Amino acid sequence: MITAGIDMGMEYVKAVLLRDGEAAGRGIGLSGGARRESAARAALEGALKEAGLSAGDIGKTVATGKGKFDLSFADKQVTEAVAAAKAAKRLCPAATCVMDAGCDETLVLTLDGGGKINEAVLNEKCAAGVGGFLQNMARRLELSLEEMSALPPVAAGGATVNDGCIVFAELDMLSLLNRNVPVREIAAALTDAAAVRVCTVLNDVTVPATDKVVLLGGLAKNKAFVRALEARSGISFVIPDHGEYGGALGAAQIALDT
Amino acid sequence: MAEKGQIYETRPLEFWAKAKELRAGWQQSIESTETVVGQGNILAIADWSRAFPAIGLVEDNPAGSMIASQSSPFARKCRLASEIRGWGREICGYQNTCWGSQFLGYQADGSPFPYRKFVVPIPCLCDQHNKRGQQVRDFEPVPQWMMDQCVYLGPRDAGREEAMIEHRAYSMLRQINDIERLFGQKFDDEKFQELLTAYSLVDLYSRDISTLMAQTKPTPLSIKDYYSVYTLGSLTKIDPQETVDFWKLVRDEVEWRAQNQIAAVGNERFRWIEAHPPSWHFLKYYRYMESYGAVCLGSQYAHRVTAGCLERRPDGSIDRREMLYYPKDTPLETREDGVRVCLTPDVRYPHHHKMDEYIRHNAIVEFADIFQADGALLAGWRCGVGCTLTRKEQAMRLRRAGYNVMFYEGSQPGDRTDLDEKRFLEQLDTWMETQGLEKQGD
Repeated sequence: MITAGIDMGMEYVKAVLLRDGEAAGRGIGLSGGARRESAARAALEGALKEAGLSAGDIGKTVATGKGKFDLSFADKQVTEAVAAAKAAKRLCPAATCVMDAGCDETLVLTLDGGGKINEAVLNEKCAAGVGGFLQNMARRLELSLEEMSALPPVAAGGATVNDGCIVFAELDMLSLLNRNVPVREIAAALTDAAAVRVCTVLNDVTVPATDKVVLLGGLAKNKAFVRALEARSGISFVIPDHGEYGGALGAAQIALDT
Repeated sequence: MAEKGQIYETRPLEFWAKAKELRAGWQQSIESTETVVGQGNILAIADWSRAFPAIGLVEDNPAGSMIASQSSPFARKCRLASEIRGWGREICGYQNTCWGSQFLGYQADGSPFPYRKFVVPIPCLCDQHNKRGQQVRDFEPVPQWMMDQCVYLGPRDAGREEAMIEHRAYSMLRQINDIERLFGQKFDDEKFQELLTAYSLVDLYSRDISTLMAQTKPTPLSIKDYYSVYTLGSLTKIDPQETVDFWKLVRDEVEWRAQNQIAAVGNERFRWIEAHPPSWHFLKYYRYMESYGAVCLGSQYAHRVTAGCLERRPDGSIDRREMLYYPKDTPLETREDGVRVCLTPDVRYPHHHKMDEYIRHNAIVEFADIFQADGALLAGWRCGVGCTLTRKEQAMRLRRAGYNVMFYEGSQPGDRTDLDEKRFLEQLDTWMETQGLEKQGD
């Protein structure tokens, strides 16, 4: 059976196809928040092409992500938390915790041995958009997000920006630019601020899991962010290949299971 | 016909019609008072002002939340009007919205704001609530009386309590005399006794209702319905006997429903609590949760006292929380007696949020236990900050005790400025789905 999972994210839409439970194809489409249906079709087409399948082969489609109800051809919708938990258990059966850090939301779940969710914690709105925030800041620094992500670490004690409010952080960034602080130092400061915000979500869990914590979502690809987050949290994350497809993978698995 | 997912029988509430009638009567009393200002009728902020028959009562909280519910654009205008006079976002939304309407001079429907002719702010340690009186007085030179809020956090000390009661009693008696003298109003002592007797009966009935809600599965009354009658006779000014009759009517119906397993929510599968008043302008979230079979039982706030009206005794049994009221056998014959009865619970049981470490931090876990809750929805508002003080700590304690907790943010009870409706409902979806619940009918 072919099942599809589509993660209708705020910035990107991701699609994953499973053939009898095995990953068969992945696709991604840029929605920018406003073109989710067309981005979903583009993502699905990419996945179908990679898998050598056609749309008619898909037996069931499950949508997740912020725009999950915008997908007209989904058979079912599930919340991001349920999809992330499912993906984490599939990718790392020993997972005790999963963090999904995306464009607009950070989610932390603790899991029992069977994959049941014990606790779910979402970011406060002030911390929302960490992924989106870094993307915007990279643009202000005239870098691509990939370039910003690949910058080498800077020595401790360098520039800092406000880590409680991203609006203040942006103003701090402008001030640093005005003072001719090197761009890579500013980039490191912004990344560290984002890591601090994400840590507040991690710290909200009653019994923090420090072992087998799976990191999913677009920010899992951002090397500088992961480095900052690991330094701040003291956690060494399990980062699966294609972690940004975690939500879509979980949704495809749910399509198979239900 | 039973709906999909329905487990229990449910029926419409019969006390509804009477509740609507009383509510309309209260609104009418404010409006009619306004029309005869100058002929002896006065609008005030003071709960015991009910014993002045010719004094109307306009409390900030219901006025502010009504505006926020009636018109979001007008509420925004009110907040701006308040802000340019220096009242910032640290002020509770109830107040900011109500004050803005006062500054603008009219209400959401265009009718004149019912200006207060004197103010007696209820003593309160809570943040900005004492500013209620100040801003009325600053706006126009009306008299304000202020009572000391006596607070003592040490071990119970009968001698100290008596001194505190006497200090406040003197203050209140002087206020009554002043108001009689300045406004030519007669304080009706008979009415006062009647009111105090009525309050104590309403208190008994409401505790019965709380007990039935807590201890009956399925709960016969949801907090959504309870809130619809919550202010009748407390924040509103209606006839004492009518108030007592109404609360008895509610208690009897809830008792009958409990005995006959008539559920508030026919698909009750998940019981949850809060720690605060709801977003009055967005009560939709209660019904939204009901679509998952999740019924709200309210908060300690909703059940009359901040610690909750029920307690678990050392032997494990559940009973009404013992309240150190004025001794029951004391005759209620004079104004002085009445004033002491009014003040004693406040002095002996300082119920405000920040006074008692146990109440603020631990009582919510006891409340969740007694109300047989599965989880709690806690608010993290950005304004009226005192309201959400220690919420994170409460969440940690609840989680450690085994209750599932979800936060939401952005919408104070009396201000919808920061409400992100879509995000809020999505958070509820996440909460419910992580509990293994699906919407009924999906």
